[in-house]
Amino acid sequence: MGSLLSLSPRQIVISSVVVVLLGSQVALFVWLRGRATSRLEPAPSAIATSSALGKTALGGPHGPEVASATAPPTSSSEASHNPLEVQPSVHTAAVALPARPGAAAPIGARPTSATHVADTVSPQRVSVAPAPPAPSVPTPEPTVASAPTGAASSVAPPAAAQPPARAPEPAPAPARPPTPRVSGGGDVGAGRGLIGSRCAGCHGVSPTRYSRTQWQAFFASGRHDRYEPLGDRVSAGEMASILAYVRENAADAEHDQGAGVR
Amino acid sequence: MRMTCRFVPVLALALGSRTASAQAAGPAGATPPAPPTVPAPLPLPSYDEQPAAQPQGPRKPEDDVHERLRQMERRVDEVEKASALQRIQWGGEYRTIISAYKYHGPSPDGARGPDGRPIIVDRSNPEQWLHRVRLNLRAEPLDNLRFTARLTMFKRFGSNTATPFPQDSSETRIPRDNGVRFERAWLDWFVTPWLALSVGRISYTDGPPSELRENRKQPDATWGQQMVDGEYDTADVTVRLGEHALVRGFYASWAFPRQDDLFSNFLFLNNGTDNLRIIGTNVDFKVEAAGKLFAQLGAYHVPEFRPFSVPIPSPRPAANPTNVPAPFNGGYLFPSALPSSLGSYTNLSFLLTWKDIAASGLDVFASGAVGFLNPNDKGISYPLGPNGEAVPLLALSSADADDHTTFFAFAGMRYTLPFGEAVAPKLGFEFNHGSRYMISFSSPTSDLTNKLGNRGEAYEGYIIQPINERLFMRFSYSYIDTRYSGGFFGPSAKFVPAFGGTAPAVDQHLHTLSLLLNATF
Repeated sequence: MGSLLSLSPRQIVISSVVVVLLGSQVALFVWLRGRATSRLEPAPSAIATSSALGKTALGGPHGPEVASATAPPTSSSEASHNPLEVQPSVHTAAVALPARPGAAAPIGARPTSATHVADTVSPQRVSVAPAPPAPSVPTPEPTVASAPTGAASSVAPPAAAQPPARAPEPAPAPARPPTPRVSGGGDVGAGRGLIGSRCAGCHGVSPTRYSRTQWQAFFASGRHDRYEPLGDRVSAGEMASILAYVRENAADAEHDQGAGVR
Repeated sequence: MRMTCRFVPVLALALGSRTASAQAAGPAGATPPAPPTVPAPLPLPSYDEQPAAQPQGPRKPEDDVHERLRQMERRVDEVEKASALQRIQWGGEYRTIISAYKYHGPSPDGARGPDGRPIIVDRSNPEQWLHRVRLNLRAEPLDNLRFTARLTMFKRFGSNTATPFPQDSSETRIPRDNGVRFERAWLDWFVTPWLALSVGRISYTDGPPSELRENRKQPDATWGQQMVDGEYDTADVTVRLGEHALVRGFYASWAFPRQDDLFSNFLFLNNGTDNLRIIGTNVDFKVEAAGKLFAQLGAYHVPEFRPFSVPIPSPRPAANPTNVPAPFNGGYLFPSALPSSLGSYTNLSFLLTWKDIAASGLDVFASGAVGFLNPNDKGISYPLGPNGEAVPLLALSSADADDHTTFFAFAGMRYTLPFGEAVAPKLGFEFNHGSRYMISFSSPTSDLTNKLGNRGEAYEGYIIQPINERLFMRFSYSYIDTRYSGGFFGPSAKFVPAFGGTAPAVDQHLHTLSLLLNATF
C-alpha cells in the first residue's frame, strides 16, 4: 500500500492504461473464442447450402483435399470419437450426391467408398447459389395398348390396337421478338432506374458479375434470348442504358478507393 | 468461371439421365407385353484426367458430345485452378508528363542578400519529362477481409536524382529512381456489414475532388483534398450509416526514431521526442439526385505538435573547395535541441461535389477548411550562438502572430462538352486560396507542383481529351501566386526578427504548362 501511494501520477496513469489494455485483450479473447465456439455449432443452413452447391462435385480447391484427410463418420457415436472430425472454424458435412446411372465418381472428386463424401468447408467461404436444376426426365410415352383378356377375347377377333388418347398439345406460344442488341451509348442514370424497374421483377442483377468486356459481349450478342427474349418489353435505348450502368459498375470498373468502403 | 464450372456437371447429369430414360422407355411400338427389364447403364465416360476407353464398334453421335464435354471440363479445371491460385488482382496506370516551368521568387539554394532577405531570381525549365507507373493490387482472401496496395514508380527521364530529405508523406510523389515503392498498403477488415477496421498506409493521395482533374469516375482516396493529400499510415474505423452515409475515425501516430543509431542497435528507442498523434473523423454523404452529390465533413486534432529535425542553411557554411553538393558540403545545420511540443492544432473542413448536374455534363465542387493553431513559446534550437550555443529558431506557424486562425478554400468546375459521348472533351478550372499561417498536409502532384499547400492563390485550367476508355490526354496551365512561405514551422520573430516571422512574405509565382498522356490497364 505504501509503495502504491509512492507512485507518481504518471506511473499511475501508465499502470491504469496497461490494466485497461490487458482487460480489453482478455475481453477480446473471450469474445473471439465465443464466436469461434458458436461457429462450431451445427449450422444446418450452411450444410444445406454446401449440399446445394455440390461443392465436392464441383471439385473446389478445398473439398477433395480435406475430404481425403477427414474420414467421413459412419455414425454419430463414431463421429463424437473422431479426433479429426471437427477443427476450429470448419464444418464437416455429409453431402449426398444425386445418383445417376453409370456415374463412376463425382466429377473432380477423388474416389471414395460410397456416394457420401465429406465436404469440409469454412463457413466464410459458403456463398448462397441456386441449386443445380434437376435432370429433366422425359416421361415415356405410352406405346403399347393393354391386351384384352377374358371371354371377349375368345369370341371376337382381337380388335386393332387403337392409338391412345393423346392430350391435346398446347398451342405454341407466339414467338417473341428478340432482345435488342446494343453495344454502346445509353445513360448510366437511366440504366440504374431501369435495372430496378425492368430487370428486378424477374431476377437480380449484379453488375460485378462480369467485367466490362463480358457485359459488352452479353448485350451485343443478345445473350438474354437464351433465357427469354425481351424485344416486346425493352427498347434498344433502354438496353443501351442498362448496358451503360452495368459497365459503369462492372467487376473491373473503377471503384471507390476509400478505406472501409466496399 | 464459377458458373461455367457449375454448368458442366449439371450438363453431365442431364445427359446421363436423359440417355438412361431413353433406354428405359424401350423401342416405340413394341407390342408384346414384355416383362420390365432393367436396362444396363450406359458406359458413360468418366470425366477425370484419364480418357475413357474407346468403345468398340461404330462411333455413336453422343460419343462426340462426351468427348467435347471431357475436353471442356479439362480446360475449365485448368482455368479454375489458375484462378484459385491467382489471389491478387492487378491493375495499373502509366503516365507520361511533359512540363515547362517559369519561376520567379527566392533563390532555390537559400541564398540571402546582405540585408538577410532572400535573393529573388528568375528561373525557367522549358522541358521536363516525367513518367509514373502505378500497379494496383487487391486481394480478398475472405469475404470480410481485403488487402489493397499500390506500387508506384515516379521518375524523371534520364535522371535518378532525388530530394536529399524526402518526407514520409511524399515518398512516391517526388521523382526518384526507377524503384517501386508502396504508395498504399492497407488491410480492411469488415467486422460486420456496417463496421470496418482499416490499418496501414491508407489511400490519402488524390482524394476527392481530384477525380475530376484526373479523369476518374470514382474518388481515388479516403479523404478529400481539403484535409489531406499525401501518404500517411493510420488506423481507421468506418461505420456505415445506411446506404448513403458513413462515419469514419482515424488515428495517426508519427514516430521519431534515433538518427544516430548507425548500426541499428537501438531501433526500439526514439530520439527523445514522443510520437506526434493526430485524431480525426469525417462524415460522408452520397446521394444520387439530379446528378451525383457527395459531401464530406471532417475534423482532426493534433494535441501535441512535435518538432521535426529540420535542417536549415547554415549562416556559416564550411569551406567547400571541391564544390560538393548539399547536404554533404557542410552547408546545413541540424537541430541541437528539440522541445517536447510546439503547441496544438485543430482543423475543421467540408467538401461538396456535385457531378453531372441535371444531366448537363457540369461538375462543380467547393471545399474549405478552418484551422486553429495554438503555438507555445518554444522553438527548435540550432547551434547558432557565437560559440555554438543552442539558439531557438523555428516555431509552430503563427507563433509570432496575434491571430492563430487559418483559412483554406478550394473550388472548381468541369464541363463535359455535349458531343463525342465517351470521348467528349472536358474543360476544367480550379482555384484555391490559403491564408498566411495555413497548415497543409498536401504533397506535390505529378506535375511537381503543390498548389494546395500554397499560402496565396493558385489558378489552374485544363482540358481533358479522352482517346478511348483507357487512354486520355490532359493539357493544363497553372499559375501559383505565393504570398507567404510555407511549412509547419518557421523562424519566429520572437527569436530572430531578421527572418520575417514564421511565415514571411515572399515575392514568388510559378507558371506551369503540362501535357500528359495517361493510360489505365
